[in-house]
Amino acid sequence: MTGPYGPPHILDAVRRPRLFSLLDQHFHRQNFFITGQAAQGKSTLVASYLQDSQKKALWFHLCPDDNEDVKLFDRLLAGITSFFGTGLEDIGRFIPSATLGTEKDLLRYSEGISLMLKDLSSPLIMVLDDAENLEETSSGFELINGILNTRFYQHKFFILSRSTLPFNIPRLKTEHHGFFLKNEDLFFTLDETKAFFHEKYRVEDSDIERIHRITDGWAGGLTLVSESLRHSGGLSNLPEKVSSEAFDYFSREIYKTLPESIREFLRVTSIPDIIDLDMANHIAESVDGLAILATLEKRNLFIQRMDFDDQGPKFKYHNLFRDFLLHDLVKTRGLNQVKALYHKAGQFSWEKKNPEDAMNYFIKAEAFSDIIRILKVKGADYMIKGKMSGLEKWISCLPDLLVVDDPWLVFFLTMTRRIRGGKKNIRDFQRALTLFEENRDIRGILLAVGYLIEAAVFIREPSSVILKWILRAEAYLEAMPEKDRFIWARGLLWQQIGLGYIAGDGNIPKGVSACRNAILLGTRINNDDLVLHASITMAFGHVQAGDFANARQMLVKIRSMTREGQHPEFRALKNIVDIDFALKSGLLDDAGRLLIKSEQDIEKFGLIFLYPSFVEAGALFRVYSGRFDEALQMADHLNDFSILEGNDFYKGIAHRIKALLFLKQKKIAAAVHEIQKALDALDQLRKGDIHHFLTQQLAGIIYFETKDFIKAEGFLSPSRDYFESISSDLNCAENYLISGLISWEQNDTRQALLFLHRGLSIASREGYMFFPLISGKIPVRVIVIWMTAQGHFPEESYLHNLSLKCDPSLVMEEMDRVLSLVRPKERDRVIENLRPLYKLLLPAIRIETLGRFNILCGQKALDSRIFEGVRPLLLLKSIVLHGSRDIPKEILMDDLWPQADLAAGEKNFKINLHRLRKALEPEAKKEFGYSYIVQKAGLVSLDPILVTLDVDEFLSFSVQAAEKEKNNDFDTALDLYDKAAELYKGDYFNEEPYLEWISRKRDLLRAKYIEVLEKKARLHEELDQIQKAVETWKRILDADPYSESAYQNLMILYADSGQKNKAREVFEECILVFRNELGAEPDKETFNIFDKIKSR
Amino acid sequence: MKILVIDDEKPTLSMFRLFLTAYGYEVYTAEDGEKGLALFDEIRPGIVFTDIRMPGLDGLEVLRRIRKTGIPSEVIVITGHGDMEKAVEALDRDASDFINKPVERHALSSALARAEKRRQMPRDLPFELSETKKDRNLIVSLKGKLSGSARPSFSLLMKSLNLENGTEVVLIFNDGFSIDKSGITLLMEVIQTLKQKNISIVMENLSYNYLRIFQMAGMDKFATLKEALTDD
Repeated sequence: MTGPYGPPHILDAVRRPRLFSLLDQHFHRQNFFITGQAAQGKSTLVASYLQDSQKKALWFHLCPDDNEDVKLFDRLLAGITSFFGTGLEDIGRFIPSATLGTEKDLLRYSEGISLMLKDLSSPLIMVLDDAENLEETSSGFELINGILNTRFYQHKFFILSRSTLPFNIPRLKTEHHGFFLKNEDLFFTLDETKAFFHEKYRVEDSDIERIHRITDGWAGGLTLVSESLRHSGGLSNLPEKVSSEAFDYFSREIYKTLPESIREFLRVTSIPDIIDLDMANHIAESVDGLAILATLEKRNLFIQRMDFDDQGPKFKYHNLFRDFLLHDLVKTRGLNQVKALYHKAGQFSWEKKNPEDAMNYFIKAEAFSDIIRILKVKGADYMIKGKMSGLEKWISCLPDLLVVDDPWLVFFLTMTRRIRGGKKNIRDFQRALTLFEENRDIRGILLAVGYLIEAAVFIREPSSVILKWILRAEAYLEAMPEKDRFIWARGLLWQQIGLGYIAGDGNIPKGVSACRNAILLGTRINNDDLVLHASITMAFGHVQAGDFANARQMLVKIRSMTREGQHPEFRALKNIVDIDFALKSGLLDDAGRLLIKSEQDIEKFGLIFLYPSFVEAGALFRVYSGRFDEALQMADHLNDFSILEGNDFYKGIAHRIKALLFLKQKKIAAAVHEIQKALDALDQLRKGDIHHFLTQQLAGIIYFETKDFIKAEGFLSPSRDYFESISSDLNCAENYLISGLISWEQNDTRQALLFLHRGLSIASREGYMFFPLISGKIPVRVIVIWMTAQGHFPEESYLHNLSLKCDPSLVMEEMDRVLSLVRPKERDRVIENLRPLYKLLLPAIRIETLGRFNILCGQKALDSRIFEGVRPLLLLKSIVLHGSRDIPKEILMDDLWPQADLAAGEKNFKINLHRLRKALEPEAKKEFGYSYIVQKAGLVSLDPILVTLDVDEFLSFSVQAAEKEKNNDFDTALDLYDKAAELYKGDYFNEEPYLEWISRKRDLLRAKYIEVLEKKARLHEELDQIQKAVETWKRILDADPYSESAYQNLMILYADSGQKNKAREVFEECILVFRNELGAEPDKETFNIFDKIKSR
Repeated sequence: MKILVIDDEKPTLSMFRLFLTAYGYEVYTAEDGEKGLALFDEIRPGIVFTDIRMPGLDGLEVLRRIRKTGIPSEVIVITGHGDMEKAVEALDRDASDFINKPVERHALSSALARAEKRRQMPRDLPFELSETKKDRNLIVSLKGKLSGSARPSFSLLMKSLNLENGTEVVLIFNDGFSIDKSGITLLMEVIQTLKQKNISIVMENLSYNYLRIFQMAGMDKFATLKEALTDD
């Protein structure tokens, strides 16, 4: 790595195996803190360690400018981009300035840099040298603190500093992830001191011991002594102690031995932070700078070299040495000449197109006119790129008198405290605007009025004030003679007008329209930031309007602009849209989780405009979760927010939430009171249509509950038309259903069924299982009324599933209500229509016949004692045995009472059937009779929906499996064979071994089970799944120890897999079983197979 | 400027944090009096908002302890709607101002503006009355903290005045003016006495919140109350 981010050039540095080994041992850690006094060899140590271990690193020399988060962020970003090459240029794009919140830059930068580092494809070693330049209270320090506190797993950070920096890293984390080399660790040991001198001079060991003693192994001291030796050749002049405090004196001693021309060069080149040779030659004039600097470097005399690929070498003096030189420069040349040198350096940098360096030199030169000149050229560019901290620093260096009457300087200065300047910004933007107007500077006017609107919105000026500025801005835009000029400024102004309308004035449609203009202009000039901010503001407008469908569409577009959504505003807006979706879908757990995430972003980034939407969502979440007291508190809080903001918009929303809340609690009078207030507050024109019609719709539902049907329909009808027009399906469905119930109550059956059909069709099409406004009894009434009238619904499964979501007791109650009102001659028809619904309310029964006999009602096994004897159970078994459907009762009687005459059989049958039914359905409803066992025209059946049998499933799976195998869908076939085999937990009606009428079917089913296993085993064989095939054949032998084909196949499988002994064991077992238990020999084929195996 | 907000209701804290940050302040929050006082010691804020009713240390106790530190912070007490008793008690304990819940934007802006002005002024100024005559009218300027102990100053003023029927007295309340319970009683007596003499009274440059408390005390029945002009 070369260039401005490369490590210092190491020449003849003494290798320090002791410290290298320590670094190696702890290299699994993330953070390395190298702390030591000035000239203690920190940089040399780390650079030589990285060089020796051939590790590439990104090296930053921190300076006081880096105390600003934005500057440091920019430097880190530039370094990382240069380190990893192209492709990362847009990485900073996901840290744009605030759109909907107070500027919390540090948090944005901190989050941004962490995400960027996590995204890097390969490991990074970052060295932060001269870290003592960071002040612990600065935002730059906090930015580094954030990086060190994040766990990156593959990256390493070296912090080189003169003092221990108070990074706020928890102790355990520090111990676990950090490694420290302190001042005392860095001192050269005697051996290292020997290595240092033996490489350069012939020095006696005793002298080295003396040097070591007087320097304490301080690297700077060793360099000074070495230099002294070079000049004097002896140690006689050495003082008693060479510490960093002695540096000045000692340097002077060496320095004065240099020729004046070199001294002059050194003094002058202490002006720049980094010595560029062109710059050095420019300010030092006619001196071979490279030769001087290279010599110093060779002597390791307080200089670092940095190699650049394309620009040649650059140098950096050690800070102590540079301070010494600067001091001497001022002393020899005087302050004015030093300023002239700074000015010269500034001019050089400006000509080299390096305005930031130029500004820094001009500031030191107090060259105000040059600063102003550059500010006017580059200021807007910095503003567009969000580099405000530089602007702030440069303008603050200018005398006030030069600033107050210059519109651009006033404007730029105010921009540097954009948003956080509070009320002061209003005054200052107004001042800039006035000055721009005096100068007829159109671009300035557009920008000043735009940011004036923004400032007014942020400090929550009254709507009338914001509107005043908006109208003025619109007038400027209207009056602009040349529509093709100042496109960026015009776009930006439209965006601020959009924000003003949406967040300040509450006129959402106008705000959305203004944002649309901004997006068009931004797109025209390819200004991504402008398009992004306008899009976010527009999405915010949609959220405010409750138009979540359009908000969602907008967010999809924004996502692609923000590097997959890594942007606080995007995240917070998306969370709110997702919360709305979750609430409307009844996914309350999801909504709860999203609310927590949303709150975190809003609080962290000060997204004040999104706060009310968050509170609204939180209140609705609590309403739908039945946490009514908390919901009321949240609604009150929204009201408080509205009062504090001086805007009645949220007051209207708060009233609407309370109306819904009271409706859910059946406090209808209170709901009426609140909805009236909401209707008054949420007028249609300013707040957009959706809130208006949502309120109307809720009013309709509330008046439905008061039975004021005419008033209810008066609200529902226009809102229904509106929701149809915007295809708001959920609202339409709810509206139609309520209107259907109203028509039903008004005895207009035809209209009622039309409305209900429309509502249910929409709900069925969209799969709605949750209705936020009409929960509780209303969906139940809809279902019962529909079934009463029609008996079925075209989308039967939808109504079936919706019914299952309802509280069964409410459905039963509603059916009772309907049946109590029905006319006698219609009663039978209504009962038949409602029967499917009634059956849905009964728990399903499952009968297990394979293995242990069990009857499960719901999840609970029935106790056999409830059947009052064995006969009812035998009757059930007989029904099951004969296939469960349409069994002539005579067959059942013959099974159970074969000796009885017809009359006695009939009597026994009736008694036991009644007992059986009562045991299964003790609380059967009189109107609907027994449901599980039906008897019609002498034929007895189990209800196919209410009663399921394991044996039916077993047979069904085995048929399906064979079908799949036939179609070569082997995986599915094996899965189905497995399922069938799993169901066969034992023989059919195992507990009835002596009933002859059961035994035949038992044998058939066992044979079926063996067949299923054989098919499964053979399929495994075909698929070369040998182990599974072996296991399956063994399972067959468990069920049928005389299955000769199982023995034969096992022998073959073992032999084929080289396990001849096992094959033999199987063969011997087969012979044993056949001879001992059957008194017979196995088939000839078995012997043949074994013979073939033996002969292999 | 640093602002500390102490309130046991989390939503209120969130709301204050968002608004005050947008106003340009550096905002710190605490959920109870104990934590609030600890944070106060650490950050030494210029302005403190404290809810008056909190479990544990209530707002009045927080106020007392802040005053005890001698740190010249402006303490604005947040009271329940119409809770005049508590507001007056807070003023007795040298609160800088009070605002009612739910907090109105204007009340908040006014309290902040007043607090910022007061921070520029010397603290604990003694109460001072000064009068000037303009035509038939009398302009009386009130500075410092008005309490019952200022009765002699008012008596002297009343005696020295030769007020005729139809004269107007304009009481101008200086930005640094403050008042306690006994001061309110005294002021009420003064304006009632003047009213009985058929003298019309105008009270000018009142902060929004003092205007509210004077209205609650019934002074608007005897005098015309005028609010101080603010940026709002």
